[in-house]
Amino acid sequence: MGTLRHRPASNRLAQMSGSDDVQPDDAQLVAAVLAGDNRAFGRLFERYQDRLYNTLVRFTGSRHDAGDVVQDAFVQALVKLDTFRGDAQFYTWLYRIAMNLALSQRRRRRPVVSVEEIKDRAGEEPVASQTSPDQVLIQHERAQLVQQALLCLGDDHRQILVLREMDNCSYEQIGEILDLPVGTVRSRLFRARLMLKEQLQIVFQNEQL
Amino acid sequence: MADNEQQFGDDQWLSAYLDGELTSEQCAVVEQRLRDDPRAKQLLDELRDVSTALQTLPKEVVGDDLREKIYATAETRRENDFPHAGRARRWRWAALALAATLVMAVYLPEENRDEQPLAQAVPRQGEIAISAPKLEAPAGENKRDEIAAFKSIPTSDASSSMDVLAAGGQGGRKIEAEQHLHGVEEDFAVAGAAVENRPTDSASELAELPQLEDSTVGEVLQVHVALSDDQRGTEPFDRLLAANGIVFQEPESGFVDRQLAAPVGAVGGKLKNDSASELLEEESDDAELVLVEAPAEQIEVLLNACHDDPAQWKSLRLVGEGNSEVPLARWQSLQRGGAFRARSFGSADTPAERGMAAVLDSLSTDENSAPSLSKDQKKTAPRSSGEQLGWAVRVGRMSRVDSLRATEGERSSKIATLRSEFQRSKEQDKRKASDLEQGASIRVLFILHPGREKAKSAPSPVTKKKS
Repeated sequence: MGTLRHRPASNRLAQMSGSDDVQPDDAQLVAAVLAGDNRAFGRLFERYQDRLYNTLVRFTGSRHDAGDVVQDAFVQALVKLDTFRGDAQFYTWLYRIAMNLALSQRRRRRPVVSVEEIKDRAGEEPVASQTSPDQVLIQHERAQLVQQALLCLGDDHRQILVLREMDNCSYEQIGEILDLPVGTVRSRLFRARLMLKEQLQIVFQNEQL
Repeated sequence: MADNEQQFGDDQWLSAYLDGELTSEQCAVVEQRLRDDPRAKQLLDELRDVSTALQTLPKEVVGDDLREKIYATAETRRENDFPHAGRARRWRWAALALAATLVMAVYLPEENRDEQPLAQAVPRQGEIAISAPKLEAPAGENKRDEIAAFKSIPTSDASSSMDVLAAGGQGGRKIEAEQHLHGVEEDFAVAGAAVENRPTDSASELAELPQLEDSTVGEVLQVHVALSDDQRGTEPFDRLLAANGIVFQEPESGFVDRQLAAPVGAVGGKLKNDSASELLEEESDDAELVLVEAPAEQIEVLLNACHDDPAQWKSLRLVGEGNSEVPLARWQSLQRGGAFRARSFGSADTPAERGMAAVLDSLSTDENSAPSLSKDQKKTAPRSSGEQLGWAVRVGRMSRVDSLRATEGERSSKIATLRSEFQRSKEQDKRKASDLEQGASIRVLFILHPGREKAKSAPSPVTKKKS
């Protein structure tokens, strides 16, 4: 691992997959990186950057923070790849790294939340493509309020909601990522939904939408 | 109470039903309940609404604006770092840079670092900070070349740097600053000679350095670091530690000295009525304490990184025994094997940028087409090993006023508390001492001062006088 970054790229990945058209799985890519094929890490990066980024934007409530965390997570994954034991999915491992970084970041950052930032957190893309400008505006405002309500939850509840609703993880996958039994996943997720329901009622009531 | 628990237990099946996480038998039970219990039906609908609200949030991907911004920054840096590169190679690198957009978005500063003034140190009132000008030594040049570059700085520039260094506003201080800087220059030369002519006897030199284990509490080396960026808090420092194999040990509950703790969390309650800038101004009086234990070489890397990146670190001040200033070069003389990392990296100066370069390398099929770690850096960069080389613990926060004006007794008392907690935390740590370099670890207390207003908005008396 110590010379991972500095080894010349090899054709190991191509030899392994046999063809450029065949998509190697994560385990093959990890093995290729550890064998010195730097391109393989690039492919892992491209494969998961958007998924991780989206999840982290919703968890942190900030694109900037999410970008920082994704960056750090991938770099840390690269330098610590030799500690990846392969008994979990690569994304699970990567997600854990990222979430630890996000939680650490959250602890040390100031809790400055401005209105503009809340607006920014909601995202800019319209949810549906064929809608009128008014509908787009309403959807955007609604998204802001949902994001605002989500940020009112504690880390545990927000995390599990993001994993389920945005990352579409099964209970088993969530349990693996968070190191929780499935029963706990089920009860925590239910509680998180109840809490978000209350928060949504509050924010929508305040905005009178 | 039992009824409530039973109700909660029953209701959570509705949530699981919504997610398709029940067996067919469990589904049948839930569906029967939905037929019999209107409240259950209503709750299921509400849960579905919550789920839909989240699922219909826009998907976040790396945006075009971000890509363009990164592209421009990357191209600028590429031009600066590879002025003689051919056009084709430049565009090839740009394509790779696009592929690594997110990586670079985070790490490259928004403003062109080359436009930074020679010295950006803005010491606080009454303080003298070490802040050498940023030198533009080509990649691969050695320390001796750097010293030559340092000496070749035009007098006018050097004077302005001195002015900034002496921003305490007192004439006597200014002279002291000049002497101090001169001393740094001399020490650079000595350190360079040491690197070239003999292996450093680090054991004997370490014995002379303040160490927590073998000294009184008041003798612990304290490093005051003023951060440049208000917005990012102490994050650059955390990032620096991570990049250098120093792992944060999360303190046990109650570890943080509550007496020192600033009410950061309480600030959130005032946000609606206060502007962000006002809050930042208020909070800038905080300092964060991070105790680091690592081999001397790693401590040195941290100090050099802080010292050599004025974009992120305004100033660096080492305080040793009896509150005496410790020249940075004292640490640089610990260099072993001719490894000098401070300024000769060319395309990747900071640890963050080296991380970026590593990822870019991983995306590249041609080593020569991307900004890479220099040969020296490849040879010496400890972070590439992925090893844990040290560890750190965030021990609390204290106000700047406290950190500067606390009596020696008060400071010693606080540090004693920190030391005992630190030791206890370490003993609880499952990582064994064998993970670290045996016998060579040093403990240093970093006191991180968040950034203040830019110098241009509050010019120092000396600068003002000259203009």
